[in-house]
Amino acid sequence: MSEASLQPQVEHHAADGHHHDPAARAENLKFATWLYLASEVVIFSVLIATYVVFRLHSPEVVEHFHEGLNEWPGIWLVSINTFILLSSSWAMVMGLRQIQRGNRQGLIRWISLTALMGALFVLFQYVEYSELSHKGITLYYNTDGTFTDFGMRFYAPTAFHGAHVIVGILWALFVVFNARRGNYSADNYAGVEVFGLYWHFVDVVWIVLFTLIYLV
Amino acid sequence: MASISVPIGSVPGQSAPRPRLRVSDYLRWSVDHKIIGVQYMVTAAFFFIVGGTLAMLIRLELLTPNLDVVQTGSQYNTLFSVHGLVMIFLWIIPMMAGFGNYLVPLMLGAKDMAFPWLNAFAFWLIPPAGILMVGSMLVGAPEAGWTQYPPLSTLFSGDGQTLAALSVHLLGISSILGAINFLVTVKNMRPPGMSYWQMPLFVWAIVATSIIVVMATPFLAGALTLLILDRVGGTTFFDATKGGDVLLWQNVFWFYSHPAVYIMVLPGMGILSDVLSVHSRKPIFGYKMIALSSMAIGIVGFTVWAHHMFTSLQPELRIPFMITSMIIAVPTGIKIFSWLGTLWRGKIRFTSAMLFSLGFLSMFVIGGITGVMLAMIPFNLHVHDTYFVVAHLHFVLFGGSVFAIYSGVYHWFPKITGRMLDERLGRLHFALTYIGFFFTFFPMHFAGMLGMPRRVAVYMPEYQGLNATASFGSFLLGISTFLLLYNVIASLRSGRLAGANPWRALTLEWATTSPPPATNFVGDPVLFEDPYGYGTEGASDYLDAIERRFGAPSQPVVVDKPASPAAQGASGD
Amino acid sequence: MDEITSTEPTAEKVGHVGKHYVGDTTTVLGRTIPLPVYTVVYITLGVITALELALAEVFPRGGLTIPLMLVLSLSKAALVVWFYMHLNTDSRIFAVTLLIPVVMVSIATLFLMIVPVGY
Repeated sequence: MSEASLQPQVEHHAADGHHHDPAARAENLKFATWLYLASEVVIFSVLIATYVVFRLHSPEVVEHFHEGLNEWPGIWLVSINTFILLSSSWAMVMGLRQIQRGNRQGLIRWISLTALMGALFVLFQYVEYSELSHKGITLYYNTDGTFTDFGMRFYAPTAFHGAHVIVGILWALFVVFNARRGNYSADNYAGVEVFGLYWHFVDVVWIVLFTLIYLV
Repeated sequence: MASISVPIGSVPGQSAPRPRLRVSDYLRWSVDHKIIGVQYMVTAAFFFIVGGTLAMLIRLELLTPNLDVVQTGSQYNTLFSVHGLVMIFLWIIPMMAGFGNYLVPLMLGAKDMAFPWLNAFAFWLIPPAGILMVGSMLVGAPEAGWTQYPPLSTLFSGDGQTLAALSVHLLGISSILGAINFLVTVKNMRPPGMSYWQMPLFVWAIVATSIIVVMATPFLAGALTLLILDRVGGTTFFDATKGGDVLLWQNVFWFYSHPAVYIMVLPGMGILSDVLSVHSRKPIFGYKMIALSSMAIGIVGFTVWAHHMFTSLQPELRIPFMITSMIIAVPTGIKIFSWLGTLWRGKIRFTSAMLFSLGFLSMFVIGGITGVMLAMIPFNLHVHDTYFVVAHLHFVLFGGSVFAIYSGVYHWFPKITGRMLDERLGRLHFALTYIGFFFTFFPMHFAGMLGMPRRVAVYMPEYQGLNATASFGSFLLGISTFLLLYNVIASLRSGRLAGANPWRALTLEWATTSPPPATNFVGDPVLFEDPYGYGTEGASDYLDAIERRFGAPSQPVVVDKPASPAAQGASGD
Repeated sequence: MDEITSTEPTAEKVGHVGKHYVGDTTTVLGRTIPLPVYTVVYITLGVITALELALAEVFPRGGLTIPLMLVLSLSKAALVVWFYMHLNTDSRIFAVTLLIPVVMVSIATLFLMIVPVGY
């Protein structure tokens, strides 16, 4: 039997060559992040759905909650918070834009601003939660007042979102730390981009939550 | 045929130094997908024994209509709850992940997964989860079944229920991370020249499974979060007396758990597609249909959940779910007929791997048929929560998934260890498993139709005959498992040397030494154009070249020279 | 599917003319605004949010208020996803990855809304 010949269609490098190639690595990271966000969509939806179902079947409780928001700071606090989070998303993309042009200092400034605004958001959410708990909206089943079983449905999605913001702040600080060590450049910024995807996703969740819970 | 010829026999020095792996290498953190794959499989096998022991206790208890093994119904509740949770979340799912981890990069000619570190992390979530699960039996055991329906799981079960829920939570995270890794690996790390339509069907099955894992598992994560909050956080999401909603759990749980059935069985179907084709020396019949039907099962699988709740859903909502539940039998049927078409006029070799695959074919069909029966509302109302359901799900998960796992073990053990499993013991293992399995679960159909409810330790005396048959069958099944264990341990020490490609298979994992070197392939893997192109001259030459380059088995296992025109015809597409 | 393997960093994909990055100005309805796309999107998001607040707090509630607010909220989400998360330039697979679960959970949520609760 003579030599068997095998015909690869293309002359190729080891498929693993991707590993050391930052562009391929960036593609891997981004796709993985999107898949992770897809699963986050689902887990958030469970918490949001519990709220939506409650909103549908007990509109009077939610209306009562909305009336309560008319007192200062109420809706204003939440609205400011929403603007803060929107601004942090903007700061995030501006930072990404800087590193795409190779401006590391710009990146560090903008991402630090992002982290700062995230921290403000969490602070204001804490203020809001303590206001609400004074009104009898608690995580527990609460027999005094009208908010018996409203609290848990309100806190579950918002607090889960808050936890995501906190993780995002830590991640932002990690990006800043990496940037200061010079780990990003105009052709290697996948780490920033992936953090951006996460941060914007958290922002999108808040956009939905804000409307669903505080306005509708 | 093509422009560049690479004679793979001509590289001098043959292969890289064989990896010398010690047992201790498997006990520590490693990012090598092959080590992680074995870690998954061994861990899962350990929990198979744990779950099996619980099953034996259950069957021992059910040998007589009265309480004898356990003192209280609560203890019996614990037995079947933990049995179900362990078998599903710590045996089948991690075992399939183990196969995926070991095989997907090899089948794609890659050196590792896309995210080796993440891969290791996903695995190392399993041991703590397993400890939590087993530990849950010691602290006020979980009693609500693997479905963990409230209020049983919130108001009545012990603290163990919380631990079990945490355990499942961790396992869910583990499998999501694993699935993300698989999807990125398959999308971005295929070798040049391998299109999606040239991937082995096992890889296709892993893709379909991973999509389901990423999209469905978070439902369970969300529901479990609420459940744990109810148990330890003082909320009342599932407490109907305090504004909660019990049905919410059922819906969200089955949003996940019906697709999860396909998470457990689709990789098995992938194993089957490879094994049947290799051992009948014929191209797989209907490659595209098998690949696409996996996707179809994945999609339709999301639309059938409420057939688990026909007795708790309001009547007018049931019909659509009856229809979708029947529709999902169609892609499964496509697979079954494609496999039969593959076997048709093939040169079948009844190796142990093949026998288990054929066992899957016969038993899974029964499970599929009872599945369609259960989809019909009137029949479902009659046998809801009876032993008929138990029989059905074990035909699907044992007759399906576990048979496929056994088949995969016999098929890929030579690749993983470099040694063959003993075929005679393997056939004996198959015979005992097949008979034991059949007598364990087939009588349950009758018990169920006669009205024996599931999840009870005490039953009416007239069911004793059926239950005793099932129990003796299950003891045989329990014993048969040790044959495999013995076979694995004995063959690791003294099994025949396998060579690179004992089954003469065309997929890429065989185009390297057994076990593969740390980097999987020395140089670039050389792809055969059609992963299932058995029976052609080109395939024969390719396989001969693989053998010369990477080493032959100590005795030939398969001969597939297209000797006669009849054989040629048999191998036609 | 293979367009994803394109490996240029985004900045080059967007391309720049001389010293001007294309992202420096924004073209809306044929008019060029001397602000980066990101900033224009940011301003739009703020305006829509203000509009939502006005709908909820200032104007009297009507039958259309809730659907309108939902639409506004979804359009905000879409703006962020499209521009800030780069679905406008990235692989279509990413969009599919996001859309499948969104469609799925919407259906699931609708289902939960129509089944009765409380038992």
